[in-house]
Amino acid sequence: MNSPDPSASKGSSESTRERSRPGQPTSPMASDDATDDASAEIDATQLFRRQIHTVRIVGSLLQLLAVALCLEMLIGISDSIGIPLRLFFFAVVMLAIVVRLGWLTLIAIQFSLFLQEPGRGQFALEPMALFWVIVAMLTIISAMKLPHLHRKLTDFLIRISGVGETDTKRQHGPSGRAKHGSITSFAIRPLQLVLVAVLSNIILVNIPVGRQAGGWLQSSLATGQAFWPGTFWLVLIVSIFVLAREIAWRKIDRSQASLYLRSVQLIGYYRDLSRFAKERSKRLRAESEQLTGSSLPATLQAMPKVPKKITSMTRDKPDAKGSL
Amino acid sequence: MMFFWFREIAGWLLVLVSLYMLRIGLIFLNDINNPRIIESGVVMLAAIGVMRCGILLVRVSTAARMCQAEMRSK
Repeated sequence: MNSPDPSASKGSSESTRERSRPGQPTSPMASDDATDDASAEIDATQLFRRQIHTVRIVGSLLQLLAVALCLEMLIGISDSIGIPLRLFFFAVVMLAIVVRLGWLTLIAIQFSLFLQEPGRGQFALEPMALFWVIVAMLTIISAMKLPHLHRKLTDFLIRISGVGETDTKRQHGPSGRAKHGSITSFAIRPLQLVLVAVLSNIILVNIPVGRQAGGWLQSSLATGQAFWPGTFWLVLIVSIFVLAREIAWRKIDRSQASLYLRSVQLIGYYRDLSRFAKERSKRLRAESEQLTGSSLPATLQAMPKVPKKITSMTRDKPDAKGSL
Repeated sequence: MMFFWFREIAGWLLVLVSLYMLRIGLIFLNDINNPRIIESGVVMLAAIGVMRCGILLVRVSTAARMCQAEMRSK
């Protein structure tokens, strides 16, 4: 949101236009006034940007605080941790979320688990506690993969504060909505999250490591399941994985669908053309690297992020926006 | 338009068949008294191939439907 306030700029530009209408003589005084107006407009723009920046920082801090408090409630289930350690853990989680480091967050969670289970040295949690820990971890990972959620919340806070309302509206116009995905994706994602959490909980509770390893081995041998966690669960996990991937794949737009179809046709029926296209793509990439320092051709640099399969296809065909 | 739906249904059926084959392969492995590892590998490879074909059918028909709907709307 680096653009100035449209209403402010509109007002000042109208006033400038009124002063210098075509056909009217312009004097040196009038040009001085225009210069003053321009500098005032720049000052207003800078002030507006500063306000937006301040609100954005405050909004980010509030969000981080809320996320950290939720994590603290979810992960810090046990009260056996002292306040200094708890505060340290709090700071580590906040730092991990600020700098968006997934591995640091996971280390922090492991640290919390270690503190909750002092002296045991084994992974042994109650199923419900484990469920909440998994939900918390998946929430963090999902939040890291969804930067637009953070942007939406920040925009909401900016709208509440009354600064830059029109700018926010402009950003979330039709094009912005198409970029961020539909309502369906927002409904599917929590469901996926809960499903993965439940499955992870089942798997981790039945994991053949820990206090009940001997019992698990005996029951597994007794039921004839030599292959953990059993045929049914493995097939179920694979089917859910395939289903989730296909649901995610269906979020492509028309140009990507067209590109996919042409790529499948090229790979399936015209292997020789595919080879030529690959060579041409390599040459284009080398030229682009020499010119701009980027590994992608200029036509591909402006493209949105697409699934891996489609990305590999774009290497074959640099002109991504074709028709069927 | 209906043709693409048939293709998609066929693709999902292929995915289901591949899952069944996967289950058969796992059952081969689960048999402690007479483990059939080689047979299981063969069945698994076949299951992966069938699954890839099914997913390809599903994706191609989905993409084709999207393109066709867009062309009709224009």
